[in-house]
Amino acid sequence: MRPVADTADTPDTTDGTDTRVTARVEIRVDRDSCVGSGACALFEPEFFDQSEDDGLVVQRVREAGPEALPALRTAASRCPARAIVLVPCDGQGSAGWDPSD
Amino acid sequence: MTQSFELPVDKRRNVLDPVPELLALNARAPLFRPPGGMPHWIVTDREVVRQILADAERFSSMPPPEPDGRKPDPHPGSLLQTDGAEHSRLRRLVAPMFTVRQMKALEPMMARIVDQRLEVLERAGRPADLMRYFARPVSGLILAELIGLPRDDLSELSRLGDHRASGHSPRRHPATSEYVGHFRKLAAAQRRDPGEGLAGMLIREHGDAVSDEEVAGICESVANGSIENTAETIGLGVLALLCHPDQLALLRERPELMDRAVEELLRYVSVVASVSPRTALVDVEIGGELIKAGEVVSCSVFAANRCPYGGDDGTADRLDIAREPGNHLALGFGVHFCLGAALARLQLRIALTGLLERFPGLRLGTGVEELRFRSLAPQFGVETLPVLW
Repeated sequence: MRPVADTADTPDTTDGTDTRVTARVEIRVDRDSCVGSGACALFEPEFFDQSEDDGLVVQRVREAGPEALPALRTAASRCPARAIVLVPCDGQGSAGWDPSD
Repeated sequence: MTQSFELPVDKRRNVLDPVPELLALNARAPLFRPPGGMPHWIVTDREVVRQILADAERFSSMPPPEPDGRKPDPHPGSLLQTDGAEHSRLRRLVAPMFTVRQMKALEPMMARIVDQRLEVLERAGRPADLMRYFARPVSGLILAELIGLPRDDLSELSRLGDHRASGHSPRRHPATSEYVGHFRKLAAAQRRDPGEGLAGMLIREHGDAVSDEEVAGICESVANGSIENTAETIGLGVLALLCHPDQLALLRERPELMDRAVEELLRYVSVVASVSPRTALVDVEIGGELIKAGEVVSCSVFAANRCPYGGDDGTADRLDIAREPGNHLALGFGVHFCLGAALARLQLRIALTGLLERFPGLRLGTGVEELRFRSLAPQFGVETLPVLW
């Protein structure tokens, strides 16, 4: 479980760009956290689907180029279960979810 | 709105807008202790609401004890009033029924019902009550098809729903148990002869692993989360468009904006003013306050969606159907996020598209000041919405 930060200390970054990421990103989904909201499959069907069996997220692609990052970040921030994480292929840490989104 | 002075601040609205007191409280702090002491806290700040709803480990969704300390009755199969592994088990029983793809498969059924009700609305003559002839039947009939509820049960459920929605009615408690009884009967009937809807599917696929009580509880949860929420969102959504002629004109001119308009209307009207209360399981420091273990927290998604917020350029209070869909909280957040989100979105799109196409001259049939609102109901809404065309 991701620790919950006090909002007062949360930096406000709203421009949606991440200068650390210039290469491809790896898309990771956590099916244990997923609640099958379908927000990803509805808004970004190119990248995400839902399983017929359990309704949970299914990845359509594992990696994407930097041009897909804005859409993927939006999908990650919209996920009500915070089950989508983006990891730069050439680096460490998450490029996906920003608590101020 | 003479009764509005008795209502808690998070239940009051100025027609479609947050009241100034709520805006002032939100500007002062992310959460506050309301007078009266229950709930202990009301949270209005968008980020703190998101944090609490995402934190199912420290905030329980089990109903808090009654004022006299008595534990509330158990509610088997309730998706909203369970935590942890039990909630995950229930949710995963039904999630496959509510995927985006499954809902798309139901689109022809929804379109047929919307068309039928448009006919009925037109025949009712001008001015006609949009709630009675369109919004409530559309959401009720679609839900009945979805779970396999006999249509004859619907008018009875809607009558009982009205009693439940009127907070102080002496008929409220009997109505609630009668309401539950309907779903128990449905579960027993479907056990004998499982049909095509949700109830039958649960029994066919899971057999004895799911009890009749649970089938009834799940179907009631789905009905509770669907019938009135969708009907009131259609009603207030139409009212919001009629009160913003520029936005209505834009939507008519550019029908491809409908998906965005649906998201924006969900956010703007936020019929569920506050999601079901959470109880802190441990002391939690959040938003500059200390929520003590055992305290009950009400998250006002209406305030969170509509009060000014750092990330929204100060436009949260404006209806803008072309807005890039953001992270509104009208459908909740976290593990209890609306199971029927795809159903609600599709239903709203079909209903609003049909209505605007059928009635190019749609307008209010009364003054806004004449409208009466359901301030005490779990879902805010308008009692009647007379329209002309």
